[in-house]
Amino acid sequence: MQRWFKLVLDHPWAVIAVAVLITVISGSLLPHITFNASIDAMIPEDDPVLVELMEVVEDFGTQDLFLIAVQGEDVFSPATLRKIHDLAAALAALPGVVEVQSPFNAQKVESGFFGIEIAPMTSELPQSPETIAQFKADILGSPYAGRLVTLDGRGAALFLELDSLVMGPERNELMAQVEAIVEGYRGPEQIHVVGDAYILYYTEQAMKEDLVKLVPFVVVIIGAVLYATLRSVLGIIIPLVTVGMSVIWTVGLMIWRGIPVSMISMVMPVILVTIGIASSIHILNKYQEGLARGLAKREALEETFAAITSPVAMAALTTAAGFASLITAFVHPIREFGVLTAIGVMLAMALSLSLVPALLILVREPRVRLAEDTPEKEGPLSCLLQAFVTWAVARPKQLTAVVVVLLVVFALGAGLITLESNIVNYFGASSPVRQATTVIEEVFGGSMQISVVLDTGEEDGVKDPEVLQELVAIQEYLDSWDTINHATSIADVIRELNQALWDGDPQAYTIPDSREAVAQQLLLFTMQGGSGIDSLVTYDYSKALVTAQMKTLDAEQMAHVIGEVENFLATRYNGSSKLKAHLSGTPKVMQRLMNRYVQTQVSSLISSSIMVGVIVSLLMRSVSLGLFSMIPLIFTVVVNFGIMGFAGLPLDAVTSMISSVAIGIGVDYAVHYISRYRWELERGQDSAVALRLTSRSAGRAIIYNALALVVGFLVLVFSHFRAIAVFGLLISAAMIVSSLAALLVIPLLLNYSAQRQLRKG
Amino acid sequence: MKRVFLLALTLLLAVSSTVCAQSPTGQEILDELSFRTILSGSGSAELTMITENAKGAQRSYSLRVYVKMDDEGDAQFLEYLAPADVRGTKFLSLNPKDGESQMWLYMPALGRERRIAAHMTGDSFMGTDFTYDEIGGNFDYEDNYAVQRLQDQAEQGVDCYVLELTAKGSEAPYHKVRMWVWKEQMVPVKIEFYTSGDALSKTLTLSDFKPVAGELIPHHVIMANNAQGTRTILELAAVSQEEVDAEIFTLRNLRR
Repeated sequence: MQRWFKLVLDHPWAVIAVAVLITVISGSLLPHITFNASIDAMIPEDDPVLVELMEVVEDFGTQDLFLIAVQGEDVFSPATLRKIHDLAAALAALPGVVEVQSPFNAQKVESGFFGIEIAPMTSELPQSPETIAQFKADILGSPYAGRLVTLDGRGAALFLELDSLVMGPERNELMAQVEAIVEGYRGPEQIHVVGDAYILYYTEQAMKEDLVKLVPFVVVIIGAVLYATLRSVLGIIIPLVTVGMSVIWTVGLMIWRGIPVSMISMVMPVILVTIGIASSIHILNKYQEGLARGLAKREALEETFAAITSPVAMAALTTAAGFASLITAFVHPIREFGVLTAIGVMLAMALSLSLVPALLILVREPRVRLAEDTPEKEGPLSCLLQAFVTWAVARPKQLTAVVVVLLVVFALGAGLITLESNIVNYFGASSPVRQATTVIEEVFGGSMQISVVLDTGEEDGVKDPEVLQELVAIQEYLDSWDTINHATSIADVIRELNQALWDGDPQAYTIPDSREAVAQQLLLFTMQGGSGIDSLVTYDYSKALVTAQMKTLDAEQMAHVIGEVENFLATRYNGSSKLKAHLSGTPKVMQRLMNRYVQTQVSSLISSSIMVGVIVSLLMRSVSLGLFSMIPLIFTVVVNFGIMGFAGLPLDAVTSMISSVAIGIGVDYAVHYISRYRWELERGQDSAVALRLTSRSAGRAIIYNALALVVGFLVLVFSHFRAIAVFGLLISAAMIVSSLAALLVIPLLLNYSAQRQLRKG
Repeated sequence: MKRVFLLALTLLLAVSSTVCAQSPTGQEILDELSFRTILSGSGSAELTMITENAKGAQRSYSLRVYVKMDDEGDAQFLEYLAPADVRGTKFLSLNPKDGESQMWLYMPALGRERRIAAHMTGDSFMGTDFTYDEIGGNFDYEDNYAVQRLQDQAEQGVDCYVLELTAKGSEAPYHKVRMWVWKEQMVPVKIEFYTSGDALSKTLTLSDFKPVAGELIPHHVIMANNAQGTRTILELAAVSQEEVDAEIFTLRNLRR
């Protein structure tokens, strides 16, 4: 290592050239950055739930709902009707939009002069009082009442079917076009857009806005922190250049590997900048200290790096281990985030130990006050730190009791934690996406689609009247839930046809009693130009689909509803039935994710604890000290979960990472404290004095370090996403708790072990 | 300058048209060729009709078909033979020259026939990729299209004339039609239909030609809908060119 620094200090320009070159190469990749906020992308492609959903899409087409709602005083007014009509036409003309179902073109099956007529609700836009009255009567008397037009006539809906092949950037371009068109028709009517594709687009827009806003913000904030700490322009520029480069390298690596920015990795730059500057601060501090003692520049630098390399590497290693432990997560983007951030932390460390000395040897040393041996200021912070040690040493039992009580209380709070996986709920309640969803759900009964596949296992099986009756039963069961509405299936088409065949007799809205009658009616339906059954039944009539609209629920309710529906299907179609049924759709994917957040939480908690514990034990060459370092962190994790439980903050894709991150970062405090304590003991101090001295020096550094991190992480509070804002708050709280825990619990433990050794010795 | 340019253009066109005016001309080929799909002329046939969706899944029906074409108009009668659940379903279509077209469907399981409104059919013949006109062989090329002969090509292993028909007015169902005519037999083996913007809409492929009562009739016909990715395949089993009894094309026969 010494040789390395000699090399760096002898050839600083070479180091800088290499660093700049890598930065330029990585930076050139930045324009190719891609975003993906898709909930499906969070789950491994081979996960059974996703495979099942893909099969349903293959058989029946897209299972995503895309709905545009128009709300006004009276949607049957000529002006509003024209507006809805024109909006539908404009949307239908977009490439990528397969079909727009509107109140006008909705297919009606009725008995007429020619027998059965299958025709659009109206062939032209109704504008006269008579045609409007006729249209109103037609649609409100049809199965589309409540679905395409509300019963009170104040809302109308357009259902868009999007080409499932139009994906990624093309899909977003389409959404931008949809948004622009909708914008042109707004006022006085309100127009709301809801759909997985739109939410995805909106989310990705919000992610981009967040990055553009939060990254400069954190740079400014951290710059201010640096100035407050180091009081020199150099002290701002060198750390920022170092972390800036490490962020660009990491993002470049991410783009090079084809990894899109996710809802989760979006926070990576803010996190890397915030935690990356710590090592530069340590280095510059030590360097200025050397200069203050009157050392020459090169000597000061050599001394600095001789002393600082091992703690900097140790801190980076443990932090990286915390992030790397996220590789055990189920959710794909969490794994990517964990690995990339771990790499970013290591890169920042590498730069601190190469680029920083290379820069420092080239620039003029900062002017520093020569050592005057300033006496320790006995400010309020020092008093507090002393009080901590006194408490730990003088009243260990009381402190232990307090810690245990707090642990129990927060552990109880942890039991109240809820889960969340609906992207819509990642936004705050006032965001347009949340509001549109709320309105559409109140008015049209649901913003997500759930689907039940009924598989008969044989060709033409769906034509069996008994099977069709089963579809009716499933529909009725789904509609019996307040939160599920408008269940439809091929059985509706058959019943409408049958009714029309018997001259519109309402009694004839039934399934005919023979397979032949069903088959012949379906033949009539296709001959009449009837369409739309491809999304309800497979071409060979072996499988049928029941679809329904579902409201956005909180996770617990959703788990309950999905569980009950699956239970219903499992009981009804158990082993003895030749029919098989299963539930699919976005809500199912969300539930799957939610169940896995807990697993992610547990596995990453265990693996990060083990990894960090092992690293610390190895570095300190002591298992017991390794364990001591972990105890404040366990306390921090429990408190974090307790806060989440008490405050009603849900465990989601973002917040489920907090414990691993907190362990990786927070262990530094303990390591720092223990190292200093050992150093004091080696200097021959007795343990109580050593603790006091440690608390005074290391304690101060720990508090400053934690505060700098808190300030940086709090930038996340300004995110568009509630989930990320919550993450920022919680990780900041975790930094405070883990630093305080280190300052209270570690002296307590060290004191206990010192006294035990005393008794033994 | 402009005048010189126009003159040059006219000359160029005149020269090129003499060069291209090979013998026979496009119009001569079109006049001479014999274009028969299954249901044209008078007679009867048994056939299998397979419809295929964009994913390649198929539905197959067996039909017996009777056709009559004369000065009074044309009539078609279809009876489903298979699959079993639609066996006995019958379809009657009457298109008198002077009068209203009528279509009827008889469904044995319901014991009643229903009239089908012609304007409701979506122009698709029984939900296939054929229009009623196409299945009936009613391609009216003479009036609606201007014909041009292109470079000869081989298609389906035989030497073909290639014709390009361009719509003259808005009456024509397609913007452009391209036709491959088997030189030796003067029958089309492939026809491409283009909509405005020169987008390939449908492709008709005719093969397995066999003589029936002196005429060459394709026994394997595929209409591919290039826009939607669907296909309809017709396979002719037995064909007769014998005149069909007029009694077949009646409502009475439909109910029987």
